[in-house]
Amino acid sequence: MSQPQRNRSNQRRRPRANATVPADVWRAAEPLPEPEPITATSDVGALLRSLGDPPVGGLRVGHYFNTVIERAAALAIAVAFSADALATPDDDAG
Amino acid sequence: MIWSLADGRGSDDDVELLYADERASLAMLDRLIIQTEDDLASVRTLRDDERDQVVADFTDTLNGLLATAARLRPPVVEPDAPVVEPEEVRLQASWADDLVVVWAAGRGAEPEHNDELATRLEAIGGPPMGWQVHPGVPLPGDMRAEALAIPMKDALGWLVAVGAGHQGDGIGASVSWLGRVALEAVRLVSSGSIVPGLRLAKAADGRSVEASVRWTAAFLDRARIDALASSMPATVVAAGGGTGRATAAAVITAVVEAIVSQSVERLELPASPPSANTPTDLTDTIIARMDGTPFRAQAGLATATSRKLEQWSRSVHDVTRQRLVITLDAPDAGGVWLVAVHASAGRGDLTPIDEALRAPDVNRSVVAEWARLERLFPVLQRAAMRRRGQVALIQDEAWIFMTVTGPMLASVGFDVRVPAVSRRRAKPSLRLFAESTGSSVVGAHQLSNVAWSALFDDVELTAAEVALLARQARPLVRSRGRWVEVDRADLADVAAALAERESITTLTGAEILRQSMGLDGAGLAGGVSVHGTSWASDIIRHAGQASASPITRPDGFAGELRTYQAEALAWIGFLDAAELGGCLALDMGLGKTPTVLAQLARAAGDGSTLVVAPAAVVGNWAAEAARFAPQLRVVVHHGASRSSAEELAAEIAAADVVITTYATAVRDVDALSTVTWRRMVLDEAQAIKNPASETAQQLRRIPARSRLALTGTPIENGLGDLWAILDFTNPGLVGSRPEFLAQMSGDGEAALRALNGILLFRRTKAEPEVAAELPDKIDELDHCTMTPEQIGLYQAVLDSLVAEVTGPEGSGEAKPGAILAAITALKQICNHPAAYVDDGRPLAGRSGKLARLEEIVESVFAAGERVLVFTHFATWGRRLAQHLTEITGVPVACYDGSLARGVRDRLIAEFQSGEGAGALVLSLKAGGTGLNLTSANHVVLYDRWWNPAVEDQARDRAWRIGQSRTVISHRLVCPGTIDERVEEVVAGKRHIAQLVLPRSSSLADLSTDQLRLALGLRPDELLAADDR
Repeated sequence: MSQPQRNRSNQRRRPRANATVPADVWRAAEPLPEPEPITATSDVGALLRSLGDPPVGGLRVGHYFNTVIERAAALAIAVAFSADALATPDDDAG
Repeated sequence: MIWSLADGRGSDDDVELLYADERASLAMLDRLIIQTEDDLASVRTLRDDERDQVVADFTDTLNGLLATAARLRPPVVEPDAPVVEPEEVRLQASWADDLVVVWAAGRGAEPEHNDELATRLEAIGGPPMGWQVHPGVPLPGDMRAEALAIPMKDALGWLVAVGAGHQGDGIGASVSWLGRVALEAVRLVSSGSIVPGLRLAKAADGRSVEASVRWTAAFLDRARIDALASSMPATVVAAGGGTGRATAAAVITAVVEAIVSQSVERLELPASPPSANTPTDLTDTIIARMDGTPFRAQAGLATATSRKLEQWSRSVHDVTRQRLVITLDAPDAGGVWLVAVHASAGRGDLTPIDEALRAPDVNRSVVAEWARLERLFPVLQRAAMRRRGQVALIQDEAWIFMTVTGPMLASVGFDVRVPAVSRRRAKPSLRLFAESTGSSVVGAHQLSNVAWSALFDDVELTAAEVALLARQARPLVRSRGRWVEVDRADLADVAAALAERESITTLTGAEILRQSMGLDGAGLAGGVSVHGTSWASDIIRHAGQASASPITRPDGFAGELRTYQAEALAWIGFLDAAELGGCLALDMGLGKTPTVLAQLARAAGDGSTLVVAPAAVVGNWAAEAARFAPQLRVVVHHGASRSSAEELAAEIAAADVVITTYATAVRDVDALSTVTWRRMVLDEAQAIKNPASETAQQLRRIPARSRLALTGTPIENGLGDLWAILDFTNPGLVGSRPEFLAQMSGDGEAALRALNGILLFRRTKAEPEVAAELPDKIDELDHCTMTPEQIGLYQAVLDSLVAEVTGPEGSGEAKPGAILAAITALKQICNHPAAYVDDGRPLAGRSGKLARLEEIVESVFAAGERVLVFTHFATWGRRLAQHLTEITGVPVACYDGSLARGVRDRLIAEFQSGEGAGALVLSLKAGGTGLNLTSANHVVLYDRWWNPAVEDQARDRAWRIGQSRTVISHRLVCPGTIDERVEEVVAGKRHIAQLVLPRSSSLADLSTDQLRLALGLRPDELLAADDR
């Protein structure tokens, strides 16, 4: 049986997914700090606006991008609210 | 040689040779294994005819290499591992194949099967839908946990709740970690920190490519991601491998995509064109496919567009970028605020942005960040070119920057440094500085020089400074290190209040106290704070400090006070020390009597105290004093046998406490006025709410160094009641009645709050900290008087019974039936003469119990609450309901067995659904069980029943599931009567047989003396209603 051709220039290493058990799967991890409550942002379009008009479609595409961002932010706030993870209005801004 | 071994042709000598350089040989083997795995993955994609054969060849080769590696690597001889106790099986979550993979296991414990896992998920409230079976998760010890998997969109709500800290039992650290990462992703999406890109799959034919819009989080805060990565439990990657940072990034991306795809699903977008081969069609396709569904596009066009989008958003993905620092400096002497922009060069070094941009080797990220900043904060463009990044702001702009623009810039990746601000409105108040003029007069008449200023929180302003602030477009003050905006209306009020007091330069102690309580002059939200060294200043300071360290077990007091009672005790102590009067206004049931007794106990020996109380509670006072302060020498000055005027002085001298009734105090006012009492206590002080009444007028004549009024309803009929009480306790101090009413107009409770702590101590059951200390039910025993009519009738019935036994027709024996009938009659008389024989005359004024009930109902109604009144006698109950209706004006019904079922049901429904003041009379037999009457939180047991369980059942109509307030139960008893002997039976001190069969079980043994002893009046215990 002939040997299959091998590409010996390929020397990179990669982990063998699904093949091994981590060294100590039960080792204790560092405790997570208390999560800070999520504060609703009044201007969710700011990051997009800071980048200027998108390089494709200009203002028109930018409008749709902004709409998606606003709706996604609203849904994220709803998820945070249902998880009781939203900051209360009493929290002082400063 | 390795290939020989892998093919199965190598000898043992070959193996020995490899052992000679074991390390190098194994390294070579590992490389070959990895290469072969890669090759195998590639050939699996082949489509030609030889594919299967090639795949088989590579598989054989790989197996051979793995076998050789196993042969070369000596088996690891593990030392004797310590025996580890299996740990609790917990729910674990791994991230693998873009799915949340859950399984349940613990160190050393057998993993759960999928059916157990499903049960566990249901028990902890896991996601109900979207699960699929997933390949098992390998665990140490050759174990494998069965697993279920779910897409992020179906698990998101649950994971975020877990990440926010809502963890049930049995949740492993890996679930918490994934939840926490999901929460951080939600935080990013909620702030708009996501950007779109175009992802391209490998081209199949070279001309077109599969593309999809992909939304990714802008990783603006790398430190947060790194912190998450470093705390990742290994169980998170048990199913799929990967590093902490890569896994965190993958989970965040999955959350972003889940949220965006669900958001876009509900968005009406234009239809997608049939192809994306032109720039216009590609743009339209991107818009139509923003949910991430793939589409095919012309390869060159798509590649160029993908690159443009990547470049467009690079600055917010570049974790190595130089951040820009924007600072806002507090205003200089000229009131100008300065914004400055710097580039951060690491290690805290800052370079002015203009200098950084002019540098020959300017960092590209600095240029990009500056461009982003200018787009969001165009004010920067008004700076001269030479001073790029430096702009002066007026106060209005500075406030907007501190509160709006600055936080917005921080949310999109800039380092914003502004002075601390508070969004809380600064509370205005007046500051009164008083200093004694040095005159010899002390106390309320002491004259002091005073000066006025305004306070906004802790910032003191003169009238001139207030005027200056009022002229500013955005008035700001710096309070406790934070900038606070001042409300313009507050400024106007403060200016007016200062102007009104401009000419007031001297005040008496009483006037200063009135100012501090808001009884003089225009008021502000924060009131008037008094400072300085005057008598009034000292009083107010001590009042404020009085309750700082409440004592719950004071000396001489046999019991423990609740916290609010201890605070009240400290306040009474302050009043005593200052020789001021006051009103202790604890809600009904909060324990005014023991609180006052605690003060009398700890102050024993400092002089006599006169307690004036309604006749119905005189007995309570004596009983409570004996219970809580047994060392106090207590004298009850009441009734026909009380001391004469001549004897009274000696009696007072020998007593710590003299308890009397209002009527007796008025009747004996001359004798009581011959001594100056250390203190005078008026219980149920609403008795003096009419200042013109004989009672109020006469009681004022009795001298006392301090006067304390007790009431649960200080504003029963309005603020006039409160003025009458306060003017009694401190004559003249709170000004005239019209002035008081004018100053305190409006909400009565607001007036109580203003006065609370100096001349008044108010606590209500509605206050959470008070309610938290209260038991859920309070049982009170109210000792009631007997009117002359009741006493006469009682004696007549008893005489009749005795006559039946001993008279000419008597048998010499009292039949049990006769005795029980007599007991019933005597109980009815204790209730009311009309309960025994209804002569049709009005009920008022003929029964001590009825008088006490009227007081209780009045207090309950004043508090807007509801009360149930139970009686054993249905006919009497109907009269009682009619009477209560007449005196209160509130319709009061009677629930008894004579009513049809439908009527009874309607009565209960109406009472239970009613709000505000209300009462319902119930017969114990018909209404004692089964009903739910939680709208009432007061219960009066008007007459006693032998069995405490029956009474408890009656009380439990109100005290049961659904009741959110403390239930106060009053039991009305006439001391020295059959009533009290029933009470003894109920309390377990006496058996019912001792009443019916006083000495022995033989009816023949009953003598008249025994009958009188068992059922008769005991004059020494009786509370005769010679007054109220």
